[in-house]
Amino acid sequence: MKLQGLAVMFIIIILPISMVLASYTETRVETLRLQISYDEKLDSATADAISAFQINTYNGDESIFANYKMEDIQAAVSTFYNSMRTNFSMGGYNNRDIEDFVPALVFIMYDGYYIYSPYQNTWDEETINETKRFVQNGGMASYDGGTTTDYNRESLYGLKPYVYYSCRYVNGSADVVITYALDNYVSIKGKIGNEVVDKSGYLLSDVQLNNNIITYRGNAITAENYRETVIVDGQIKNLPCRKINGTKYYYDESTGQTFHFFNNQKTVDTLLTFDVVQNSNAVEYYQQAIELKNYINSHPDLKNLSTRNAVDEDGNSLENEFGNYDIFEELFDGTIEDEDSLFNSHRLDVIKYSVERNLSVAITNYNNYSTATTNFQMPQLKDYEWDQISNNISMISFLQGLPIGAKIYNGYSIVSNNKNAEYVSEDSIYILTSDNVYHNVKDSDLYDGSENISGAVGYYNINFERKSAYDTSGIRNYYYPVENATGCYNSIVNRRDVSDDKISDMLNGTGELARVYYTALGRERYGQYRASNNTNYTTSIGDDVTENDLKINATVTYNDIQSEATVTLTITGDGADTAIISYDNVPGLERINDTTYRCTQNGQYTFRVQSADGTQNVSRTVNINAIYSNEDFVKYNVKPGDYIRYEVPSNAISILSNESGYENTQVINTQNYSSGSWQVLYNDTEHGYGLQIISTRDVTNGNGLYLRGQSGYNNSVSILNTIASQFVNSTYAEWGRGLGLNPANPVDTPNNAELLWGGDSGCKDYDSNYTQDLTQLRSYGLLRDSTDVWLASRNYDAQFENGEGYHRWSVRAFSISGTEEDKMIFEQNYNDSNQEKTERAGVRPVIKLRDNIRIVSGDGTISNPYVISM
Amino acid sequence: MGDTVIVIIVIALSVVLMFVFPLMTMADRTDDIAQLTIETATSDFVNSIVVKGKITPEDYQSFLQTITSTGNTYDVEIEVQVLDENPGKKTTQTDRTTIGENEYYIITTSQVLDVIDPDGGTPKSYGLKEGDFVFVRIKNTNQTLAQQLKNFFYTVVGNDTYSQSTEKGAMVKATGK
Repeated sequence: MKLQGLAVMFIIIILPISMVLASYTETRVETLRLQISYDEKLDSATADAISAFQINTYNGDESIFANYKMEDIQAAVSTFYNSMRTNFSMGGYNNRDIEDFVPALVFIMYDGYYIYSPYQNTWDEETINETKRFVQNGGMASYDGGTTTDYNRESLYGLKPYVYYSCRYVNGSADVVITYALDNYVSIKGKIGNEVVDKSGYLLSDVQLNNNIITYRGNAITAENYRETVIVDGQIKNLPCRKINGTKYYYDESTGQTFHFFNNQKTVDTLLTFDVVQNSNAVEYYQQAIELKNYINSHPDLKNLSTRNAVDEDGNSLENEFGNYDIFEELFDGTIEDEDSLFNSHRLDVIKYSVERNLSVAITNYNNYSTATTNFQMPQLKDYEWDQISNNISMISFLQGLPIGAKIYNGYSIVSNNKNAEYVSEDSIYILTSDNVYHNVKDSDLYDGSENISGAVGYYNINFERKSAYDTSGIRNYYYPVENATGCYNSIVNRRDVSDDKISDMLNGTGELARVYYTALGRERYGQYRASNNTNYTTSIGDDVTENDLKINATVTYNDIQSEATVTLTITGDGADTAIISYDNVPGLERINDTTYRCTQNGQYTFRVQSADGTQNVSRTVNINAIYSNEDFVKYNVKPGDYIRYEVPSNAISILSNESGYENTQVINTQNYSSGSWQVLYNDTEHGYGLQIISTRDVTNGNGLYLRGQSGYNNSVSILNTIASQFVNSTYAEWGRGLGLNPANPVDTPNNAELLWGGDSGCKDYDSNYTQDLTQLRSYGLLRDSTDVWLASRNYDAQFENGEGYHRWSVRAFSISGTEEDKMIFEQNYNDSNQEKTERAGVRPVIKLRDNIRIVSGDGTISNPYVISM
Repeated sequence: MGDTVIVIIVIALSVVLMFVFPLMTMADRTDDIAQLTIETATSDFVNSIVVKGKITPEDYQSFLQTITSTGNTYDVEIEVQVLDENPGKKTTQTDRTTIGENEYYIITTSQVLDVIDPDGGTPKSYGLKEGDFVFVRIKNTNQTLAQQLKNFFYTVVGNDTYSQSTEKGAMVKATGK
């Protein structure tokens, strides 16, 4: 064959092969490029979400409370989906199109985590029936926009209940659950023998108490005069400040008032049990650590707790998961706070076990909800990623099922945030030196003599972020809690001089710098919000000379209504079993048994313990200062939103057609709401409102109240007042009113309105009385109901042009979403062609309780409402 | 004579078709894969920086190893834009109704390498903080086989004669510990 023939044959063979290879390579290249692109989009959306969470937490007073935290997380979720839709150029689509490919979002919080994923909404019978009646009576269609009457078992996306980083342990007589956190804070609950355990605090090894001086790593910790800048009453002031259980309390030296902010409103405090000017948070932080350490030491079954004692919810051992070593050994022999301690290793294991287990279930179950054809599975996270998750507030997002050419995308993103109000890490404390420059604690300039440490103060890093408030002119002003401070260019702005060494090693032997740092760390950590925080109710523990000496510790617990306190003594040390306990027999103190006493008055009570041989004598003086009279308790502790158990009288009222304008007589029976709940709407003597409560939901059992035409419009306020009066239990209440009237003066508008074209309309004038009630409902989260609700307030709309026009008369309501709405029920036209319309909404009456009402029990929560008496 | 010329031309064409064409095709594919490798490596490197909040010597060395495994040599530029909030703070502290503007200043490759890969010193991490930006750009400095083969037919002149390059940048999400 000629050469050219060979060449042609070669080309015929090789060309297709090379073309196919090129196409295949190009496909793989494009697939990987698309994967990188999707990774970047997912990272970007996750970073946006965690930034939204960060901004909300340190700009809101309420972020510390569980329900507000959930709102902050919901906002972060919305930000995530908005960002995803933008990144994928799906701005016109709703979240559901993206949610099909996002099996779960995980929010790693300080002591637990939330998972955002779909679930089946299961309603009880009452809710199903009420909703069916509501829809059949013309209410809103079901959530999916269809006409199905099966509202139960609907798939919804939402936050699953908070899961703590908990593990149960059983060792001898100890059966406890230990909840861990991102640092060395633990909460121990359970039983040791017959003793109920409820202890929490930080595990610190090298903390000592000698001669009433607390030292940590050799540094003496004392109370301090801590100040922050705040805008109050329109003025910027630098005031003494103390943070307790997540709330900052300020003392205004010019007015002598102590106050805090809630919902951006200044709230004056008159019955605080702690000193704001002398901030002893750091002292109490280390005291609590000593208490916890002593408690663990005095209970051998707890002290010797090992990882092999861990069990799951069915009591099966988790030894294979967590290995075999003592959890608290380093508390007494080592440095339990260190990153490489066995305690820290076990903490990471518990967090990983819990998150991995629940996340796997959530992602696998997602196959039942998504319309995508992918089989969703939990990806394998790497060790350094678990390390990142277990040491920072983080968000984990998953994106699976998107086709990217040659394969299906399966990716995840982990973004951490270390500047938020949730978690005080060791790196969160900045040192402000006397030249008003703040430094990272690992700044080399602090250790080589370049900076003057004298007068330095440690601050939480979020206190260097900008905040805002309104001045007396109503103009927004910006300020910093730590004013006139700028960041160091070596360690804050540019971090090149920040050392890689451990903070504890760097601070060792530095004297004043270590004292400043550890005081600030203790102050900020002690002030953090804890859901089960009982730090306000523990007394000081006093002297603690040696481990084996006879010691007396006292814990004080107040009842829910703070009408009495229980003092529980714990005697430890040599001779504790045979020690003789005595006390001063003073009014207000009642002995229950040798170690338990009831106090019914504020004051100081002294308890003494003597060893049987008389060689040791110790005493403890307990200061009780938080017992309130009931009047004071009702006045200062009962807040809007609190639940009250209110007995509804048995009444029924018929609303006739000529009153409501509706074609049928409507019967309102109070017994339909006999088991319904009530919440405080106002507790305000300053404006004369008194204690007013509101039904949590519509009292008409889903039937609603119909209003129609001019009659319905004019009589709307009197009808709502009449209905409310049926719910007045004269034993506890003075009067009832319709929601939306002036809380201090609930009377109807007397005047009739004139028409635009002259003449009496025959309709009552409009009013704006509703604003106070609606603002109050919004401020305290009392808006939510499954139906629109009437307001006893009227509005109208009029137009007149070229000699023609109309008046439209409306009764106000607020909708399910909480927005104000005008329900137009009567229209008057210039040519007398009037029109009538029927509207329906629910009724939530407001009841004014008597001024001398008493609270006898309860804590105001939905599960334990206040019980009232006369 | 005419036949001889035609034969020579045919032989030349055959050599080109049977040897040079497949070689050029495979060299181009190799360049494509190298380009993808450096894009992936750069994306991973930048991502690890913004998540950790620091440029560690280990990440940097691993990044260099990955990109040089393609068989090419690269010029790596790292640029950090450091957020300076102090000017904004001073403005706000002077006029409380105004939010001051923050500034950024640039840290170049040599300044970063002085910390993470110093001559004769101990390498340590270059710390960054939330809000800083980091950019990584790489370009190949050698001539790849595909470039050399193409140079038989045409020569690209000028300062930048690289065939592979990529640039990635992102904002740092968390302050490095």
